[in-house]
Amino acid sequence: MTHRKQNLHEFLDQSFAKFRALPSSNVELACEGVLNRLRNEPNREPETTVMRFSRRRYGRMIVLVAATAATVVLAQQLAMRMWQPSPEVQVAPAEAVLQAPVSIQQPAPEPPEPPAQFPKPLGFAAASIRRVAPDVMNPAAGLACRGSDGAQRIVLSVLENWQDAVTAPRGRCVGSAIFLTTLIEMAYGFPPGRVSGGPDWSRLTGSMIATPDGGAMVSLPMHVTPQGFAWYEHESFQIEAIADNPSTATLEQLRQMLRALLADRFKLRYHLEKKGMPGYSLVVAEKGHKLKPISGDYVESLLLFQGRSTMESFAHTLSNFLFNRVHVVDKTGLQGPFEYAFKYVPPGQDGGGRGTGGGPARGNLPAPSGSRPENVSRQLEDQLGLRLQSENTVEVDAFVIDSVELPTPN
Amino acid sequence: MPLEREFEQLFREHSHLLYRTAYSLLDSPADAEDVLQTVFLRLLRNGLPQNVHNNVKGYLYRAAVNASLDMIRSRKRQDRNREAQRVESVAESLDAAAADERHRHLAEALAELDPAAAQILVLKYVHCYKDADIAKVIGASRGAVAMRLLRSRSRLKKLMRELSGEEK
Repeated sequence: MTHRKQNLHEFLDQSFAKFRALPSSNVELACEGVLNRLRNEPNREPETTVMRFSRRRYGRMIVLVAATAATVVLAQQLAMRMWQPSPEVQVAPAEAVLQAPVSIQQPAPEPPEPPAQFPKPLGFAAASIRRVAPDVMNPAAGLACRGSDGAQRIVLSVLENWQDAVTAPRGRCVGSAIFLTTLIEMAYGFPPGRVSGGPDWSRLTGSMIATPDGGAMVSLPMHVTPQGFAWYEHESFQIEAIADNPSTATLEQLRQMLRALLADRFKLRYHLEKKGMPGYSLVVAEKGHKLKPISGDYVESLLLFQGRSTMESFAHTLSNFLFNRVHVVDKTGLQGPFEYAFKYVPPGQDGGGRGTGGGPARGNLPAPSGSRPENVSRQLEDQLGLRLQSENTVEVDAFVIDSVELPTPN
Repeated sequence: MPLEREFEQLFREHSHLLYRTAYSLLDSPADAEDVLQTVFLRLLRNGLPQNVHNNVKGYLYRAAVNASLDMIRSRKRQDRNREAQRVESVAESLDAAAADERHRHLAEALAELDPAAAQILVLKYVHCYKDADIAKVIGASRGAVAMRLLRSRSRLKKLMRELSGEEK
């Protein structure tokens, strides 16, 4: 072997060179992720660690149980298909999306294939879902999934300092202070504005709370009551889930695992509908856009303030940001991903901060406010050369929840 | 409930050193995060021992090295996992596989060393600390560090030869 002929000093120097060259930003990101997870331990019990290490011991058992459960679900679906053969039936448990192409392409009267031929639904090796304990302030709200081929983040916090803290190690999905809508968005790509049906809690998206220390806003699991603000006590969640093989699971596979998780733990059943609703279209302003086209690999950003994404995705992000989450569809005609930076300043708050900073404050928070399309449009035009155009009807795909339950305990 | 300011300050002050240490030994970001989380969770639960208040950095660093070496030993016991890792490495590229193999040998040899020796070697070759700085972290004299470095390298060399021989 090479190292036997080499001077040990040189060998050690070379062996550790790549670790010395590890970019500080990577280290920072990883450490912030860990700190974030430590912050989210309300009882400070090392449950996360137990879960993270026990995957090695119990991983196969969990996979076996998951595989058995999946087989039962598949058998039920086979029975349902034989009983009700119309391929247009869209009511389905969440994990049925995995088999959707099969159920549409195969005529029902034909004998069903043996279960072994169906794509095996993917499931996490271990998943922990816990409700957010009341009064736990976590400004780094959001969900991140990192596969071997890329990552996706849904950042609920609009505090820029905390956005990078929404992260996940490879092969995992990690979310803090998130809602069912956040999971649906990650798993199926439907932003909260396009989710309907189900009980009220299932459509929660958090509240945009203006903080008194300079006008920053943060999305928190809080809501307004006649008495003031209250925390959603059972409807926002901490989640950490790990794939059976974290080093090789792709982002798409993680999304499929999330779908299985939604079906299994939340008992989510849904169907899709086309819906026409008032909204806005995103168009290029008269003076042309100011976006920077990019090429090559990139990670789709769901941040409004900065990142890289297609205009279609950017329109979705805008939908989430706007007051009442009105629908925005992309009509820019721009193809491919772009890099952007957009700093939205709420009206009346562009004169600088009033406080000393330091994150969101508790106590007498001002009333929640949203971002009105006309204000956003004006700033979009100034900064990115895009604007919002009011439309009487925009046709969108809607994700309709038929039934859902609060998650089963870990 | 927010974390105590002191805890967060400790985390921010030392987490990079600990993460880099664990990563350099384990060659896996996810495992390095596990080590970092384990060390600080223990700190949250148990607090700092009284006798380490004058050298918190040294204490946390030792904890991270020890946790990483434990993980390496545990990995070594899990032969199946090791085989799987080898297959992955070979699939990536021969060069990368060879580098991974060398690093695995090195990590396993470090895990066989006295933990104090491993701590010194990592400070020297991963963090490029000078002898005087190593002395501060491990709480020894500069002369003792130089001597331990010499012995550690010699022991490491022997262990790596043995490990290479076992693999043939």
